[in-house]
Amino acid sequence: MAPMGGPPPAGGRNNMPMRGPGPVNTQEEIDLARLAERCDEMMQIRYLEPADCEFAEKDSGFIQLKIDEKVYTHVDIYRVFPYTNPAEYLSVRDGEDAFREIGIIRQLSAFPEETISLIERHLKLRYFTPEIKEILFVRRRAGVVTMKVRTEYGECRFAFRNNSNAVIRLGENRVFIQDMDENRYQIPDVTKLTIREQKKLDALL
Amino acid sequence: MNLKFDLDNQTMETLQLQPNEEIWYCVPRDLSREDQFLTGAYVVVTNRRLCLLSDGHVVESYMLSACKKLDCETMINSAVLRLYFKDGSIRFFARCTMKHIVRFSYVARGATMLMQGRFYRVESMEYEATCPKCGAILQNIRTCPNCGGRGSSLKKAVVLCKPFAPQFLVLSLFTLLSSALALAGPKIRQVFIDSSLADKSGTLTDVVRFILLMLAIAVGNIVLNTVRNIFSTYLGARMAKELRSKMFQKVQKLALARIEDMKPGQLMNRITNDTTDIRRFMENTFASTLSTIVTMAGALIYMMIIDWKLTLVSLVFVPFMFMISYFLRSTFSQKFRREREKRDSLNSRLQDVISGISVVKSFGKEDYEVQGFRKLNRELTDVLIQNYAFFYSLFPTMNFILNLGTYLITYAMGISVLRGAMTVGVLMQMVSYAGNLYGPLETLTRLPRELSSLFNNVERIYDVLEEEEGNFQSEEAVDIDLQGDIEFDNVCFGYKSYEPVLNDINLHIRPGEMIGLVGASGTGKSTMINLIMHLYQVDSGVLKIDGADINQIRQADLRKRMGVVLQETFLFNGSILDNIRFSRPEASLEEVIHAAKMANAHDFIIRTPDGYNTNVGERGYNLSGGERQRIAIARAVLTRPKLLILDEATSNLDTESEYLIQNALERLEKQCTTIAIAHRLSTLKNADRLVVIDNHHIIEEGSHEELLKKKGVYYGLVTAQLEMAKVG
Ligand SMILES: Nc1ncnc2c1ncn2[C@@H]1O[C@H](COP(=O)(O)OP(=O)(O)O)[C@@H](O)[C@H]1O
Ligand SMILES: [Mg+2]
Repeated sequence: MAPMGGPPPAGGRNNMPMRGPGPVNTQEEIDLARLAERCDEMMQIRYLEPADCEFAEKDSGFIQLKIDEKVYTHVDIYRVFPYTNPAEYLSVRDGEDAFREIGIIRQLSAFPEETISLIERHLKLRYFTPEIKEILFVRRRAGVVTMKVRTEYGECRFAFRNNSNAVIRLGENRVFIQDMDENRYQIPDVTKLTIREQKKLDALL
Repeated sequence: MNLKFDLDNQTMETLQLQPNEEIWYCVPRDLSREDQFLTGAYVVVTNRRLCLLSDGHVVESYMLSACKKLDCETMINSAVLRLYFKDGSIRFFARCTMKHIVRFSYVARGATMLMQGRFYRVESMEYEATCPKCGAILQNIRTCPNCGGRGSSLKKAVVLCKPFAPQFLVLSLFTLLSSALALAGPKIRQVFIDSSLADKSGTLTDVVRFILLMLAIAVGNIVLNTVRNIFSTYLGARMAKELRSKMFQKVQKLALARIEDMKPGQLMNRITNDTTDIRRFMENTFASTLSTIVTMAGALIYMMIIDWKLTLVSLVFVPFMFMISYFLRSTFSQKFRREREKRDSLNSRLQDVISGISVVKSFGKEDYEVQGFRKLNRELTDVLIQNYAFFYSLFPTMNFILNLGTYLITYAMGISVLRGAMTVGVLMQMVSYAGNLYGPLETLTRLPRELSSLFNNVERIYDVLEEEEGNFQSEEAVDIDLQGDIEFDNVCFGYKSYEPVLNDINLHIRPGEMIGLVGASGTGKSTMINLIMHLYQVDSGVLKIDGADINQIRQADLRKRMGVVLQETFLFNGSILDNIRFSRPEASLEEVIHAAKMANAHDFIIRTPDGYNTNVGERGYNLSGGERQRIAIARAVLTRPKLLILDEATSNLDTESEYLIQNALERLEKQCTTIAIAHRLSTLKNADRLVVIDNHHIIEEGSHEELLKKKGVYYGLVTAQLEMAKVG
């Protein structure tokens, strides 16, 4: 049996960050209302419609969002399913206020051209997982593998230990390689590589 | 870790440093805003400016006096530096991959300090992950194996074998002897055939003598081989044993952070499987392969002496066979890999489902799991059948090709015998040696694979043995008589230095005080405790125990004087008594009972079938979470600690037991410093001081009443909990 050591049932609920309440008179009632409000907030999902949103990019690299007459000067956008659905279900969060979710974009393609390219640029900044387009060489020596590859970011060389869990398979054909610096490189579909490249990889997988 | 990379002279010139200007930090940025890898691009911080360099040119430059802060934001597998100006504007500054992320975070910290006019140089004690010169992997070592020299796998294997040199010598001797015997047989037979049989001149005594000689050789061979095999088995077992205990000893000494890096499961594999593999190699492969090689070499030499031309001609088939196995190499590895893959996925599925069987059953998914397992099982079987059909048709073919050499020899020498140019005895001798030479060749083609897997084992074992312990205890560390005075002085810490968990912590805990640590989960309460136990090293700032830097205190002695109940209660396999006494094995039975009473554990222990002798742990009597916690508390109290640490020690207890234990502990606490973490805030009401942690900082500090009056975060937590109690 697994040792029990988790937090108490009440502990889990303490996860929400608590802010000090304002001036309180009949504190108990107000606190109850606040709790209920927080709970509503937690449960709520808002799907963002293109018509309501106005995205713009700033010098800082931050994205500004205007929605319902409210301006967020710094929003962060995260993928909900980074690998399986990279262009769908994007979570838009308030970068200033403790990671609060403003809403979710269902389909990026439903938005205007400029917004799409702007958000894609932002996502590229956040998600750095170079895709291996071509394997230039693989060398194995003393349990260490050195690879030179071409990616959409250009050519690069990296090394990893072959006996650790550096090579991870996700699903049928997607492969991740994590190098010593903890950079991750991905091969979205191993079967799409040339036979020669597959052979080079064979030694590792 | 290097935070000040060297720039070439030309670049230095373009920087145009002012007379009193000096480079403080210079780190590479290897990724552009436009998604390209960069080389030769740097972030440079001087005591006046902040510059971006690209290919030897300054592309951006800002006066530090105009800036407010440099912020390092961790992205997913990369990081971005943003520059905040005093006028409120923000600018994207630089970007890097994981290779330089630690450097970026240090430089951001350092540059921000400079902007605030604090001329304090930040330094990084972290190891480089790869050699800055050649890109080779450095695993927690400072010198690069290529550039500094640590040697190849073979050298490591030799180092590991060195203590067993005399045994290896004896083993080689046996091997030589048995090879010599194996080679002597055909020679004796040749003499017998040519001098006694061929011209029918021999007598009965000659025949008997020959038979006795051959018998003696056979018996000698059996004895030698048996002794050799027993000896190599013994040697393998000894080596495995020594390596296992060396590794275990090493693991006990490694700092926690190092062990976490290595992943505990892998470490276990290394200690058990890798040493077992070495034993197997010694047992099955080493001695027999060595003797095969010596015999082959001897046979080859003899054959060359008899007829070197023919011998060379008969060797034509050997390269042929090596070519076949070379061309089939990738087919082989592919087949082996497919087999291993299928086997692994079957095994991991099996382990997953059996460990989670209660979940499977509670969702009624048994049939679904059976289906899934059946599919994997079938796939594995298919692969196995295919592979073995291939192997079993291939190996006899290869054997046949090899033996073609023997036919060639028989043909050529047979003609010579008929012509009278050679005796029958020599023909027989030659054919025997050819058998010695070609017979085991096929097994030798497997040798590279076995050697490479052996070298992998050696690497992994060596890795553990060579790992730096990472205990930051200084050489002159001394023992102290712990008083329980703890001081955090500007302490910063993160498990990964680019992800701070605690920032600028200042806290002074005086002897005898009871401190309650409060905060949402994941804010770093347990982390503070880990630092006090010196399980990890602070990144910057100083942690003082009784006024002395914690690095100057012997860890073992420090921990001996602490009583700790960790958040995860772990009980070892063994009796309750053993588990309580773990902290102080010499404690008397009465002391154990006293400790159990204080932890309110005595009564439930009595109710278990075997009392204090009840077996608990992995396979023992099932204790509830609360019961385990109470045993852990008894274990902590038994040490009569000067510093008691309770990390959610009563979280699984009912309110009444908690109240009882608290009262008991309070009596103990009078004499010792206590640091308690609890989610049920009422538990901490009596603390002398409560310390509230949020967002990496201490944000409030004071007694329960003071904090309630202040109506800050603590007040919010308390009222929320009161509401919970009401609603629930
Ligand atoms: N061994 C570890 N390695 C890496 N990160 C850790 C480790 N232990 C804790 N953390 C991280 O540090 C943060 C603080 O954890 P912890 O001190 O356990 O919080 P608390 O005890 O307040 O609930 C968490 O974000 C957690 O994920
Ligand atoms: Mg904790």
